Amino acid sequence: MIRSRALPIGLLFAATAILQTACEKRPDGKMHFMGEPNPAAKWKPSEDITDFTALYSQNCIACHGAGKTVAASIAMDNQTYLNLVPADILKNIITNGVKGTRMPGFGEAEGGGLTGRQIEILVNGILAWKKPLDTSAGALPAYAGPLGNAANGQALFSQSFEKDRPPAETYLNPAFLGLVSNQYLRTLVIVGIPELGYPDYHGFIPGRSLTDQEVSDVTAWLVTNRKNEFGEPLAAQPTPVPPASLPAVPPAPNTTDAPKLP
Amino acid sequence: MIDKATKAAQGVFTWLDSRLHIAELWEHTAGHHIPKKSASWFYVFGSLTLLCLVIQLITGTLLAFAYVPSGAEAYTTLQYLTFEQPLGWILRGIHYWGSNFMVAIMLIHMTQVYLFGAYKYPRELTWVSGVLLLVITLGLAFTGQVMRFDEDAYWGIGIGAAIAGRSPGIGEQVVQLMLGGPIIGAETLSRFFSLHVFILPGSILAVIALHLRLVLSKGINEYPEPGVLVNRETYDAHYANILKKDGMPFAPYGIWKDLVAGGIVLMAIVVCALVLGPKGPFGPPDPTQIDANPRPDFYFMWIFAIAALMPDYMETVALLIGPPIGIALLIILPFINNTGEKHWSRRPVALLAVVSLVLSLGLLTWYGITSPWSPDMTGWRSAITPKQFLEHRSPLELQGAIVIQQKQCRNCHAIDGIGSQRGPDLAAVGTRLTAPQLTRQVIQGGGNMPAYGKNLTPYEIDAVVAYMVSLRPNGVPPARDSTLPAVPPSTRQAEKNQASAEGQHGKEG
Repeated sequence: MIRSRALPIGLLFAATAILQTACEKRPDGKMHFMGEPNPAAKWKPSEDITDFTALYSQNCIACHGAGKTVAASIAMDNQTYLNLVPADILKNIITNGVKGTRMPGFGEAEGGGLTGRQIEILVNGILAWKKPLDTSAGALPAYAGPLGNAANGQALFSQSFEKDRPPAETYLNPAFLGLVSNQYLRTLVIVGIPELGYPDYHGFIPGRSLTDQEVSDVTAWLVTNRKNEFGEPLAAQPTPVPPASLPAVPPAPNTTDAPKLP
Repeated sequence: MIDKATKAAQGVFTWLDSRLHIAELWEHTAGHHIPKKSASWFYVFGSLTLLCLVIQLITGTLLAFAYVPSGAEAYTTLQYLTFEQPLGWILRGIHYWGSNFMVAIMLIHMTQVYLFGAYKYPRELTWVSGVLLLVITLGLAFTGQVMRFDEDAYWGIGIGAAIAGRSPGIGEQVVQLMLGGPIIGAETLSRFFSLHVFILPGSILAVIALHLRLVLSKGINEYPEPGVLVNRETYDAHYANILKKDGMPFAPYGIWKDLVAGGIVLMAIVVCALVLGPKGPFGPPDPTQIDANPRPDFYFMWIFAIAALMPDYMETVALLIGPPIGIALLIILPFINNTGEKHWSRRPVALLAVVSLVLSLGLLTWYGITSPWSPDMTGWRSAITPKQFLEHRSPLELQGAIVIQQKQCRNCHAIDGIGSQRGPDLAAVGTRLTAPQLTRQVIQGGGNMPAYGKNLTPYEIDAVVAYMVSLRPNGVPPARDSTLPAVPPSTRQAEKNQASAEGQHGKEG
């Protein structure tokens, strides 16, 4: 008698265990079967994607990294960069790209496929990573500025980098200089790519931070080393200075709401 | 009281039996005698296939209550069924997984029948009807895939029509018949709907009736014994003798295994539906949706793989002549080989054929699922580069890494397995090609790679090549120019030491 009851009870327990294993808790707080299609996963056209993480992962992460992902260009969660770049310039770069460099325009007019709303979401999401910057070691140079004194820049450049860092001369490779804009060089000197060993303006020379003028000088020195494909020096192109009416960099938002990336 | 009820029930049964001959029907069907050894777990797959068909008929009928077979509304009703209709997703899930199980179990059943020699005398027509059932089942599977009218379905029809359109002489007419016009249009889905819910189910029920009739009239194949040969003159008497000596009624002695296995399959289908859910619908059936990535269901993945892998000039032959030849071979099999040994251990060619077929189809299916030949069109902006392939690189090399992304090289080339598998993985390309070789490859292309000479500036090429030369494991020197004189091992070792000191991936050296 006991044996005859054991089988159905055992089967009941097994079925309950299977059903329990097949369930998961979803963001709506309810338990759902794992196979139940999630309305959030419903197919939608790419122009309807409004989730910042999805947009960043699909469009930016390969070149700019973020979080634990390292990439070859300046990271978009680099705090120095976030405090440096004005929001409207960031938006303009994403929308139209930077001509003559590897940064493509993602706006629809450039064939990039992102709508204006999606670009707004990207800009807001990136800026939401911003935290107040500690500038006690040296004031943050301006985002843009005219080229400075190349001779001073050369003198500073000769002091640059510590022993275990990439050799400073690698910056002077004509092909590298031919691939980047003056503004990229200036931004690189200020924010660096610390995760790959390229220091920011605090670590460019030992002992102190670069000033705004020194950043312009170093940029000028790098620009004067630019050559064409035949090794002939090129005339330095002046760096355009943003108009005086440029809006102030928005204050750091509440960082607890900053979107996270893996 | 109980006696009265029992008597009443018996009276009703007798009344019905005298008119419907239920007892006789039972005696000749479920009660038919089978060889004792044939009440084996190997013999349950036919019943399981039938069970899957019953599940498909029930769930398909229920799905038809909500599904609108119109090109304009099918996709919307699928979304309604999946996301809004209560339990609609479970219904779709069971129908989808039921079809997968049906095809898989039918193939297992055919393999078992083949290996047990059950197609031989006198069961040739049982086998032939089984082959017809396979063809109709695959037809149901294909048209069912079309009912899920999304991007997979749209391109599936397109490819099916393109294959049919190659039929010599009648291609255009076949396409017209299939699509209801020269292109996929308003009538197309209605035609596939008619096939899926009327013509093919009707056909399969008719052929199943024939198949079961043959199973009952010619009997269940005896469990094969090595060394016992089939002889047309003596087999019937031999089989009658087995039944006389060792026969027993299918119900209840054999049927319980079918019922237990049926219960397990039913549970497996329901669990798959609950855990893995229904398939799709994916993107809409819209040819202007350029980011569509259509794939057939698993049972057609091998055809997808063949179509992708074979050379162009083989396509028509392989797609139009291959399948008819395969089906014809299956149909004539019992007529060219219907006597002799039944046991698989004495039929090495049969065993080898099954193993080869399973391995080929399995491998092609795997290739179809992974489809390494397909570029990932979003790789350039979403495929990341692992840190060890970026650390300790010069600014020029880092620009090279950016050029590789921006020029969409990652749509075809992975780095350390991340990205598309269409082209070679670049993780160690610096050990295989020298800088001049890389420059030539980038500029001129070759080996299925387009030429990028007109799309890259000289500095971009410098950067890409510098970066790729740096892509090599720690301690491995860069590729050497094979036109240079050979160097003694000691020099080579010095190169390795230098490379190790410089390091590359992660620069541990």
